[in-house]
Amino acid sequence: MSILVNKDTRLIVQGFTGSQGTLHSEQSIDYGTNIVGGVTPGKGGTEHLGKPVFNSVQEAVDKLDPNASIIFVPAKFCKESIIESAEAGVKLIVCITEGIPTLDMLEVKKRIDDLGVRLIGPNCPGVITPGEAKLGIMPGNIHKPGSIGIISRSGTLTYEAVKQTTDLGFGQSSCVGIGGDPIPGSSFIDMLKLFEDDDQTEAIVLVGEIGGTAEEAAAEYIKNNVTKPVISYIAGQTAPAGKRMGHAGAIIAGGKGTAKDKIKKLEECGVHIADNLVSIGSKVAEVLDR
Amino acid sequence: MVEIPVVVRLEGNSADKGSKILSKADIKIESINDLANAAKKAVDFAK
Repeated sequence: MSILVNKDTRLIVQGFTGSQGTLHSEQSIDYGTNIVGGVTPGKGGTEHLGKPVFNSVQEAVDKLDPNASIIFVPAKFCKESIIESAEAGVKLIVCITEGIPTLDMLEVKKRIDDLGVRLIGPNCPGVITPGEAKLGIMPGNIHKPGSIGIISRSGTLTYEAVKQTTDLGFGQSSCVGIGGDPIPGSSFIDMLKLFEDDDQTEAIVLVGEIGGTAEEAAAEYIKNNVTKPVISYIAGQTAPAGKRMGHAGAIIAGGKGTAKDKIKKLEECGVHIADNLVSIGSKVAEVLDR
Repeated sequence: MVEIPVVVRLEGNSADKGSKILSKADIKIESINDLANAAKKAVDFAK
């Protein structure tokens, strides 16, 4: 098993013919992802990368019966793209784009929740189930099918956790970047639920960072609901207050959201802390006693 | 022209291609595979 995506994923790409859409679709197809087609308004009826292009998600859904969509359109068009996809009946949407206005996301979040649609991101690397399907911009070659579930607010830090767990032989069941925005489509808790129920996942790595209270909420959830070991690394241990650290949501505001507080809460809830970015893998090995 | 030493730790999409380009560049570049060692090396240079 795995979570969210697998060999049966039938993916359409929104923003298929753009430069980012093209680059990452090529890499995803090379990885083995079943991209069935794409959407670019105005280019319907043409072919791109050997796949059909449609003017709207609805047309693509009618013709291709996809069960997932990935979005590479510019930030100002993302609200419409996500809602279009959700209303056309796509149940899993991955949005890579950074810079979507928070007010747009407020509307999007309400709409997808009403429609029962799962959104991963925005401002994220995407989702991968190693050896099966890659819906995102992560480097496929560092992944390996295995037993560790990875959830992260940061793209590159996800890759660090991936590479370390690959190098130590564990591999990953699935890896999900939930994104670094203040309003993500899915939370740590949404993903913890899925990994807890997934047979292939033996332990979970949670990579958090400063800002907000997502890690604190996750810690509380883990204490009460997760039986599998959770290993966590929190980025921004030396971050100054009031400074946005790379992500829109990564800011210590009013003294709240520090790495220290998050680590303390996670530890209190039984989560194992990797105190250094380079020791995530070795902490997993220590916790699993291998 | 960059005069100060640069420590590079490359991994990920097109890392091989990137390494080749860097190895031909006329800049003082130290390429290190391991992240912790790369950080230590950068600190050493700064001392």
